Amino acid sequence: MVFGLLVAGFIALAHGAETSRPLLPDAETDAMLAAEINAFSRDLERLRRFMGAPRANDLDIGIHDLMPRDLYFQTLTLWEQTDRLSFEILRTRAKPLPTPTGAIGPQDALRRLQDAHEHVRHIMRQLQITDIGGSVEGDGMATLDRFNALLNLNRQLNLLLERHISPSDVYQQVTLAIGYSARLLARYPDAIRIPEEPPFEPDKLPRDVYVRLSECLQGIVRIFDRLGLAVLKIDTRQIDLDRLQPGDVYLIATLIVSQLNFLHTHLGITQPPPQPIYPGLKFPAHTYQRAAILQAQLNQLERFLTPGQAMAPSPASP
Amino acid sequence: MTASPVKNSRPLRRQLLLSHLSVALVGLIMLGIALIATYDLRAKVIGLASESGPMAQASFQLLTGIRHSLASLRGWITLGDPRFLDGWREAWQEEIQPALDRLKNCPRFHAQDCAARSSRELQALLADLRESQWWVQDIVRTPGNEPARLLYNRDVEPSAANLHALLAALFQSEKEQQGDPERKALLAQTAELQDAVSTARLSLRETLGTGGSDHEHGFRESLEFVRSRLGTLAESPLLADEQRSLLLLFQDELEVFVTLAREVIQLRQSDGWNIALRTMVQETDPLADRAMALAVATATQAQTRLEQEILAAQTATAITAWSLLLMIALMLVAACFLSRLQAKAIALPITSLAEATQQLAAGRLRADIPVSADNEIGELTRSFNTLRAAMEEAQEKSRETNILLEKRVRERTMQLEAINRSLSREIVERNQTDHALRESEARLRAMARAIPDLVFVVDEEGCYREILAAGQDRTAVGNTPIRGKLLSEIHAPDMARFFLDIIHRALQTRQIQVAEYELVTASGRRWFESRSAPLDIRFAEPSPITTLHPQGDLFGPPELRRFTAKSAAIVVARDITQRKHAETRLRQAQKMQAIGQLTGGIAHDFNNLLAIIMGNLELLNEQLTTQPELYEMAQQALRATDRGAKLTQRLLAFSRRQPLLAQATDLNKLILGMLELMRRTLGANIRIETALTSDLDQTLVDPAQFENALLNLVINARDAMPQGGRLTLTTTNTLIEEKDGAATPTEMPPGPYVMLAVTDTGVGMTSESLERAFEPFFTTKETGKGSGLGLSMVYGLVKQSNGHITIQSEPGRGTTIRLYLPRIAQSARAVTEPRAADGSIQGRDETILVVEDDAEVRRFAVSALRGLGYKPLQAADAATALRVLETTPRIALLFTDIVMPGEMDGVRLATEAQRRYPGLRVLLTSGYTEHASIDQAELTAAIEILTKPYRKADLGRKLRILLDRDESQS
Repeated sequence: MVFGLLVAGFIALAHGAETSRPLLPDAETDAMLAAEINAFSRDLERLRRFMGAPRANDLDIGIHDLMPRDLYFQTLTLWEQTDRLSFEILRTRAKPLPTPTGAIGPQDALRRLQDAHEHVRHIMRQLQITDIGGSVEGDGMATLDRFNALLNLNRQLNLLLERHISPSDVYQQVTLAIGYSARLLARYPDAIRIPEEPPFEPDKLPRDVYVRLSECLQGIVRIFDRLGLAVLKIDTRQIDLDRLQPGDVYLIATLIVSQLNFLHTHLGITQPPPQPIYPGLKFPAHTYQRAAILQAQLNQLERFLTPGQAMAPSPASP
Repeated sequence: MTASPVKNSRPLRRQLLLSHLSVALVGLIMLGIALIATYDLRAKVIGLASESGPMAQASFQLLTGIRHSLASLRGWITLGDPRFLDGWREAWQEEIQPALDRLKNCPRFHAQDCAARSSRELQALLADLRESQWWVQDIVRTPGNEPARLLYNRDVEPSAANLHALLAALFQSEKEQQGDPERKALLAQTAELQDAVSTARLSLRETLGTGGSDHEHGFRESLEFVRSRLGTLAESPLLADEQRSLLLLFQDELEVFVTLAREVIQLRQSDGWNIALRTMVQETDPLADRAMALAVATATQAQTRLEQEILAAQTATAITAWSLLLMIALMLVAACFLSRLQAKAIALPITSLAEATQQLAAGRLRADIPVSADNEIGELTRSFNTLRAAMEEAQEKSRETNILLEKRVRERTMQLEAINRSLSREIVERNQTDHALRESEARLRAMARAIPDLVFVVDEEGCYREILAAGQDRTAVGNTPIRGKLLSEIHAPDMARFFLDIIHRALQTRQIQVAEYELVTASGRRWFESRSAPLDIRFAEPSPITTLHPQGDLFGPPELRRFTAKSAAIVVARDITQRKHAETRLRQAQKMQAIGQLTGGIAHDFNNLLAIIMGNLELLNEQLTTQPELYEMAQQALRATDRGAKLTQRLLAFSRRQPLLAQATDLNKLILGMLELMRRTLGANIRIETALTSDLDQTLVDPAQFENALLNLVINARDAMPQGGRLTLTTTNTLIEEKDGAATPTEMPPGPYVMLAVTDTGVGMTSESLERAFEPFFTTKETGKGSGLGLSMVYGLVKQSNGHITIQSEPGRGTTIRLYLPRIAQSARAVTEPRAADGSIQGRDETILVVEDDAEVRRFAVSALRGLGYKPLQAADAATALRVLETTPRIALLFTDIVMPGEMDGVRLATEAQRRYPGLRVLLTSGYTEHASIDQAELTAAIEILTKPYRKADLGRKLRILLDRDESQS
């Protein structure tokens, strides 16, 4: 339930909560986004030093050319983590932010990033850290693309939290993805919406979960390709799997959820997926087992799709 | 009468055809109606069986499955027993899903639009229901199922712990302030605050359980108390800065605690305090209700449809039954009417025709029947008239033919009777022949069984044609069936050629061919005597060369096949192995006998010569005592005569002509007495072992000669063991029976024997040496080391003692010589060697009668006796000797040669003389005797034997022994 609000945010996004936002040109927004990422990175580094937390190593998880929605979900995760950090340090918690409707643009990601940054600044002020916004050594974010920069910020924030991202959080994200997939499969009368769970296999590591989830993500990429939709690029061949942490697995799980959420909205499915709840203590092996359900669902979806045709809502679908 | 021409039109046939067709038409119509009705009925029944019924059943099964799944899920939510989850899965897999599949397979379910919509809706509803239920079962046991409890555990508890920690620090600092009563009150207030926080915490936890709203009030009261007490404490001037700082932190944490507590209470009071239950109530149950309502509607619809189909089927059944009954009635009426009509038209002419036929059969019809109609019956009438005329003509011809036929039958019958008589005679003769043949065969079979020989037939190519008798001993042919096999397949190539040559000779000469041959069989080498006679019959067998049939058939009929006839001979083979062996032994025995006679004769004559030479030399020797050189020469001559005497002694022993004085002898004692001598003879390298039977019977043998024989055997054994070894002497009582004949020498009669076995571990003998072992002068020893007379002497001694000797030996495996001597049942008197009372050999003027046929020998004896101091008388034969005895009563001793011409030899003379003159001493002398041995037990003790040639001293010693013997001993 650490990131229950994030899940709620996903769902609210699918529902299309109304919000008003000024529209900026994409290039200008992108520049502002880059500047904000840098500023956020500097403050976070200062805070990290103040808290004496370890520094996270940069890790390229092999996902590039991302869509604005993917950036948005990373900033949403960033916001959730800063809110959690605020609660752990200051015992205060912010109200959930309104969720953008329709197609998500860079502005939405910028706004969510600015909110998260404000969280960090608030914490720094409360901790009486004076050099807010100043220059900080070791600024390596500029060399990365936006998405990976946000990923690394999330990884660093995770290290600042008292309670880190755990396999239970990944499990929760995978469960949410199963809910989305079930809604998508409801369009096909012959589909098995939630396939049988495979037998439990012990002794699994985060890397095993990551591999299975990356296979799911690749399945989603193929579905998007068949539907003619733009989608992220994934290449996990160069990833050092041994360096993966539950937080990294969590990131790919949120990416899956964001893709399915987009598909859900794109196809006009109104019924939201069930809200996943805190599942209790889970191991990577549990998540690995549950991810197999998701993989089976995505395989079905891929099979039901006819190349070159969009999925037509069936009369029986909600 | 000729029949009128038949017209092409056939009215009667048309009438019958139309009549039958009309009836058939009615039947076909009725059958068609029945078929249509039946198919309609069948369609309704099929509909009932395959659609409406299963639809209703599937709908009800679906209802049951949904209820089952709901009940299982509720059980899982409320009780948490995993078996409910299994039940839930079973409900879907074994009830709902199969029912849905059955519904989908009902064509009627999809036939109408409304039904199809219902089907899709039901399917979608069930999918939603299953998904919803899956989510419910998934979240039931997760901590997040109750958000309030989760929030409490995760956030409120740490906050409460913080509060307690702050209060504990405050209490501790206050406790350290001592003495002041006001401070004690402050300490008490702090403690109360601690207690109140704990109460609030517990109350809040209670709100999470069942009936949690009851504890909400308590929580608020505790919280109010905490706030009021906190205010009191905050206003206290006694608080130090540090304490005040702690209190401020407490206030901040309390606000967090209160905020979280409110959230907990709010969550607990909301509908979603248990997400699974809420989902169940808000989502799953409505879906289930809708699905069940739809299933009920489907079931009702199917039920209604089922009832309608049943009603329609019943109606169709009734219509079909009535239609069939009506049609049957109509058909019966029509058939009756048409039949009566046609019967009238057809029956009357036929009746008149039948009457005419009866008259014709009875021979009364002499005129034609009038033709009444121009239809088939008219035509039939005309034909009948024609038939009648033809029958009259045929009857006439038949009568004539019968007469001729009866005549021929009588003639043929007579011929057959004659043939029958002839055949009967032939049968009787053949039966007699068969009987005789069977008798002959039986006799032949019995004969074949009875004869022990092998009887078989072999053809000219050497093929065994028949085995008429295999004898009792099959060793010659073995157990392998040989019939049909070639000689070369059974025997070695040279033997096969030999046999085939015999067969060919028999066939060419037409005479019996006799042959003897030795065969190697499974039981060893066997000798056979075969008689091969040509057979007068030839064996025929199909030729491998085929004859082409004139019509081209490759094989043709059997009579055209080419046969080859082969002549054959019958062979009777008899096992003559035993006869051969007996012949061999006989030849050996005859050879030994001939050698014995030859050597015995030579030795006898030589002995006499030696006796003369020895006697004269001795006399001469006495005269030459004053001339040393001549004396020495005479001594040398005497020593030579001694060696010659020993030689002749051995030759006589071999030829069984040496005079033996058989006595009852205990071989064990004899052997034990010789052991020391044997040890010295054998040397240290050879060990002697004895296995002597304790109760060994006595045997009748000359002990002195036997000692010589045993010593000879021991010496032979020693020479056979140059590197040392072991010599074993074994004695035992043995009984030779008839059945042992094969294992013992054939000349050995059955009976009890004493057996002495001399076994060495020496080099052994070859079979060639074994065959000649007993021949005199045969030796395998180096020249000069053996005379070749040792075993011959032993052989002669044993044979002369009515015993037998066998040798068993193999090269390198030692030799065993067994001596079989006849056992005597009772212990006979043992004769001890008499010894002279003193060393004197001189006579005391006793009168000695010398009986000797050889004048030269007699002269020497008389001369020697005189020289010894005796008064000798002499006789040339037994009769003269008896007369001398009769006329000269003072004769003290009869000294007689054993071998003498005439009816009475020396032994008989001694017997007769002792019979007439009891107490008369007798000294027998001989270098050769026809007696096997002289059983001393049969004579008196006053008899001794002196072997020729003898020395004067030997004669004197023997005479003194006899003359000095007590009367009682005699």
